[in-house]
Amino acid sequence: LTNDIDNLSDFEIIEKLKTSSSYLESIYLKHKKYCLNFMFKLNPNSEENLDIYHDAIITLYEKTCSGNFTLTASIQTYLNSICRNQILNRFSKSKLHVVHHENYDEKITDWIEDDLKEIEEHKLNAIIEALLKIRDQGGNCYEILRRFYYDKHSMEKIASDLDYTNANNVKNQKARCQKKLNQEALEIFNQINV
Amino acid sequence: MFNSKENIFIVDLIKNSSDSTLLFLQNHSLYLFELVQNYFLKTPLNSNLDNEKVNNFSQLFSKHEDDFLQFLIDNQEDKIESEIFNALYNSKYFKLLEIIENRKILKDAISKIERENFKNRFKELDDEETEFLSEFEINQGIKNVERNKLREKFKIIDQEEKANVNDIQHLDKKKNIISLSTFLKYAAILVILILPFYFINNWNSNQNKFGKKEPKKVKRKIDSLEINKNTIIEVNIDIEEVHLLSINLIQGEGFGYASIDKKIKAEIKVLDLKNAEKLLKKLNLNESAITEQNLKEKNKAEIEKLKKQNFNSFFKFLCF
Repeated sequence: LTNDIDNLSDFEIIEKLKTSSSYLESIYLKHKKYCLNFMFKLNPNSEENLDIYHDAIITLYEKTCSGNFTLTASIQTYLNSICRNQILNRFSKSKLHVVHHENYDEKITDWIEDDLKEIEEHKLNAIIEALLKIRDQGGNCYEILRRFYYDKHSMEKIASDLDYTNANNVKNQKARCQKKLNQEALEIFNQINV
Repeated sequence: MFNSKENIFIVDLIKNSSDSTLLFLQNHSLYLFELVQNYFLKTPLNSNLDNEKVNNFSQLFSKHEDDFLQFLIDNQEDKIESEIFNALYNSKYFKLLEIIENRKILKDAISKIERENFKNRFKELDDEETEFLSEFEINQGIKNVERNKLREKFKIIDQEEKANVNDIQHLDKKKNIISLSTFLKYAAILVILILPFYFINNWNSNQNKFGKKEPKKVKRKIDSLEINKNTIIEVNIDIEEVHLLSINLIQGEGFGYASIDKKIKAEIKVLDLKNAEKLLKKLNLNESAITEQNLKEKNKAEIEKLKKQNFNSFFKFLCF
């Protein structure tokens, strides 16, 4: 389900996004066409641009959840700037047909941070596999871990959203889930490395 | 109490601890509690604080345990004890925390607050230390899974959007076909609506031709009873009846014609005197002197014209 964001200001949309990722789809659709047109002038490959736009929306969400994000331009300008940064990072600048376009902000330096390389590949695969296994098993474990680590929600908010009586219960549950994840990941890791 | 300058000085001393620093601290052991409190509460975790310095600091505690504990006993309020714990816990100064926890007398003091909780938290800390995954790795793993999930979601939105565009284009094409089919449909409905009238019309004509069906009887006001050649009989009549009468006159009996004016009035001109009697009967009129004949042929052209007029009237009647 998409949420209607047409009547909201950019500031209000960001505030809503902090509380729920369900607004992402509406934001995605609203700014897609303009962003793709904007990128087309820098890079004529539409499929690549679509991937870059996906990452731009993910970046917007992750930055919004990080807690210290302030929107200094409109959402459209912010997304354009991220897309531009990603294109500049992905491709050699010399190959780019540099077009001066006014709808981006040079001061915005955000782009999708790929810090996954810092983890050994086998270990990362083991973590991902373990997480997917826990997610598929159902229950609240994956949800708690996701909300805590990815959405950066507080224990209080998680307790309220997932109907726990208090934040301490969530904290204990999170500790148990984390332990489970550790065991699963270690098991998978050992299997891979046998 | 240390003032802020002294605090900074002592914090600096710990950071750059040497034997002389430790000696200084030994001489001021009573202030260790404040030092711990001030340092860990107000100064963020210094990750550069190495193990050696931590150990030195720990030894310092053990050497001056009595003074330190006496201080705690003198200030046994739960709040202060909790603050010690929180200060050390939040700064992840776990080793020091464990040393404090292991002191017998301190254990008793701590038991007044959440001792079990304390132990559980230490256990968690122990587990955490030996876990296969670090917080960072868990964080990155979830980030990876969630990013991929979002990308998949966006791809689905793209596909749906594309499908919608195709649907709209398809609908646009279909619209033209639909408009043609709609036209045909309405045409068919029109034909279906018209056909019964057409057949009824034909059937009535045929019935009248063979004299099997009489036109409907209606009340009429007779204006003139004397009928001669070219006599005009004027009657007030329903429009439906006028139509039947006209057809009857033209196709059936062939002895007259009717013209219909806007006042729904029929003028029947008697052309065939021989059959006038039948006409009179059909019109529910009385007999009168009708003597002349053979005007049928003469008025044939006029009758044909009337047929055409009647058909047009019928068509207009259907349309409106």
